[in-house]
Amino acid sequence: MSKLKKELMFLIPKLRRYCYGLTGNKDLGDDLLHNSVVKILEKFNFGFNAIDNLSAYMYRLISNTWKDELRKKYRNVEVHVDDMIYNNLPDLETGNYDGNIDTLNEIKESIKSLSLKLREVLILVALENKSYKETSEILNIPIGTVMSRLNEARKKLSGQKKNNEIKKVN
Amino acid sequence: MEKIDDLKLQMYVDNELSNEGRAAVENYIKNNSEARSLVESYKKINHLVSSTYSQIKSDDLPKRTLDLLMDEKPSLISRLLNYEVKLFPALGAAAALMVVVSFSLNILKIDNNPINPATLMSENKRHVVLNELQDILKDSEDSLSGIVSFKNKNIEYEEVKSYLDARGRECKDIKFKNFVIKDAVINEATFVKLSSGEWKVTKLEFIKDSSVGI
Repeated sequence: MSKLKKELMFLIPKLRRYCYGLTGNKDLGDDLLHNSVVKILEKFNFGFNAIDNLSAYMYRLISNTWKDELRKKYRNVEVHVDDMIYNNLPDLETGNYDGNIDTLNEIKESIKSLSLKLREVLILVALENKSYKETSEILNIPIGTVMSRLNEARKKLSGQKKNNEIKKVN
Repeated sequence: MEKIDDLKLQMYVDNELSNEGRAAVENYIKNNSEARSLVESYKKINHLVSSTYSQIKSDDLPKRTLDLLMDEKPSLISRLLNYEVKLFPALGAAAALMVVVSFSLNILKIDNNPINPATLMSENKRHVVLNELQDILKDSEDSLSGIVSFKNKNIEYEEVKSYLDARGRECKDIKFKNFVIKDAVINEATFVKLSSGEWKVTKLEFIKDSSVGI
C-alpha cells in the first residue's frame, strides 16, 4: 500500500464524518467521500505528489467536490452555491446522543437550515475541532471571515432554538 | 483592560485564546451572567453539533472506498457471487481442491499451535526460513511481487492482500511459488509490521509433500 493510501486510511473516519456534516445525509456523505478519494488517487496516478498537509487538502477537496456537485445539480438555480440551503434533502440518521432527543433533532434541522458557507465553518470548528487558522486554510478564506461566519451560524442556531422554545410555550 | 465582546467569548469557547486571554474571559464571565449564559449557549451548540455526528465515526466504513485504498483483489467467493467466475469450472476446481486437501494438506499456524511445525521443518531451518521471509519486506512500501533468492534457488512471491489487523497493525499476506523446503511446500505467509518497523511472520501455510526440496 502506498504512503498516500496509508495516510488516507487513517483519515477516512474523520473525512467521512465531515462529508455527513456537509451533505446532511449518510448516503450522500458516503458518495461524496468516495468521489473525493477517487479524485485524489487519480491526481496521484498522474504524477501529482506535492501535498504537504494531506488532511487539510482532503477537507478542501471534499468541500470543493460537494460544491461542484451542487452546482451541477442546481445548474438552473440562481443562488450562489455558498448560499445554498438544503433543508429539503433527506434527513440524517439518528446519532448516539445521551441528552434530549428533541434537542438533537432540533439542532439537526437547524444545521440543515444554515447556508453551506456557514455550515462548513461550523462543522470544521465545532465537529472537527479545527482552529480558526486551519479552517481558513482549508476553505481558503481569511480568519476574520471564519470568525464572522461562525458567529452568524451560532446566532442563527441559538435564534432558532429560542423561537422553537417560544413555539412550544405557546 | 481588554474589551471582551461576543467574538472574544466565542474564541474562548473554541480554545483560540492565549492563557492570559482565557483568564480575562473567565474573570469577566464570573461577574457577568449574560456573558456566562452566552458562553454556555456556544458550548452547548458545539456539543450538540458534535453529538449529532458522533455515531458516524464508529460506523462501519464504506467498503467500496476501503477497497479502493486497499487495492484488495476480490475473493473467489465474492467473484462467484458476482458471476465473474463461471460456476461449473469453479465447482470442479473446488472439488479437485477438496480431494487434494483430504489427502495431503496440512495448514498450520506457527505461533498458535505448539505441536507443529517442527515435525515438518526442524527448528533450525524454520528460523532460517522465517528470517529470510522477513527480509523480503524490508524497506518495502508498495505492492510486493518479485523473486527472492533462497539457497541458490529463485522463489517467486506476490502480495495477495494488505490489511490492518484487529490491533490496527499493518499486515500483508504473501503468496509463494516453487518454495519447497525439505518435505514442505510453502504457499503463503502472513506478515505483521511491529511498532519497531520490523516485519514479523505470524502465520505460515504449507503443505506436507514428498517433492524434493532445497
